[in-house]
Amino acid sequence: MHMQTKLISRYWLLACAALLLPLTATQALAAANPSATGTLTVTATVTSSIQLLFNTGSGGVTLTGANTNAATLAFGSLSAYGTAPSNVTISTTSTLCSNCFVASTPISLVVNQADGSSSNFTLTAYASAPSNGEVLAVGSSGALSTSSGTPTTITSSGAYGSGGNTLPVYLGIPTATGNNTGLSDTINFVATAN
Amino acid sequence: MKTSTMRTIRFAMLLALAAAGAALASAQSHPSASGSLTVLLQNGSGLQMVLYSDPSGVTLGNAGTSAASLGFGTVGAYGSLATNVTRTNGASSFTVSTPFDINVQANGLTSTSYTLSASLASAAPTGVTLQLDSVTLTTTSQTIQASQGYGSNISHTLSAIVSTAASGSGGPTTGTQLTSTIDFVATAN
Repeated sequence: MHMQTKLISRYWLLACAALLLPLTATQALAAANPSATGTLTVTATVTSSIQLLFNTGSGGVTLTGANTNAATLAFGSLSAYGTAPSNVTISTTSTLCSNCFVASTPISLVVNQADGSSSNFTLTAYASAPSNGEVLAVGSSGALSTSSGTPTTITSSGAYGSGGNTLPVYLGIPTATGNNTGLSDTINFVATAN
Repeated sequence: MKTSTMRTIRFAMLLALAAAGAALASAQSHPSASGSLTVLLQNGSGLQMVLYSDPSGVTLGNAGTSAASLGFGTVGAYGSLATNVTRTNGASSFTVSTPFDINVQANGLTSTSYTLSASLASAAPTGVTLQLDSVTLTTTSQTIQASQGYGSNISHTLSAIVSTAASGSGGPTTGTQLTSTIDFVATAN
């Protein structure tokens, strides 16, 4: 009789456990924090590129718009004889042009490269058409072309990096130019990775 | 105690026999048929995540779904970029960024906020690091936002930090489309 009672008690326990198990599992699931998922596929194509910047050259005229690719170099008031503006050199014996005097000052031209493996660059430039017979030159190139289709090569092995490339800019002014004549010329540069 | 238990069992057995007898008698006197209809109601509680284009960001592919795509287009340290892609240049890298929106809807929950986590499905391409709201993404899930409200478009900024080193020197492969997949999980708080 005692054994029977024990067996019945065990059966009751098992039955209760069987009934409670699913209930407990359901409660556990309900207690878990629900979540949602999403996916975002990201694509990009990286291209190598270079950047050209103008900076004030050592011993040169301070550029307006330095560290950009559109700067202004103001020589100030120039004359063949007399005192030259600060950081401007005047020559009356230059071979850049005849019957003229030449003002010059250095600039720093910086070309940076990103995601490329080129070791240097070629720099070309052309000047806007002169308004008073003036002549422009950069580095040792001689007089700049005024044609965008046939620019003048300034260097074929420019160095990349923030150290820059120091280049003198020359402005040849005919001595016949009238007093207080304003001159404004634009030099367009193109750097191409080699 | 033992005697009372046995009495209870006997009583239960008698009750069961009586009920069976009554049912049998009833069936014999008035035939009947019975049926039961179990009605199951699935409580639709849960979360749903949807990705949308941000007004200030690039247009997503498959916007309005939970599996969208975001194309930065062609990117470089210098030069033009796609509309709504912005760039900052660093000493040895550049970063392109654009916003997009995530909207998480809750249904049948008492939760008032969710936690957003994200991970990369696989390692980012060489030379590229992906950041979401300034959190650098890896293949390990990371919390992006711990307490975000439901039901509105939340803007997140995706950034790709691209090394400016040459390909083969730690920089990315150039000229081919690079792809990464970000897996998001929104969990009710």
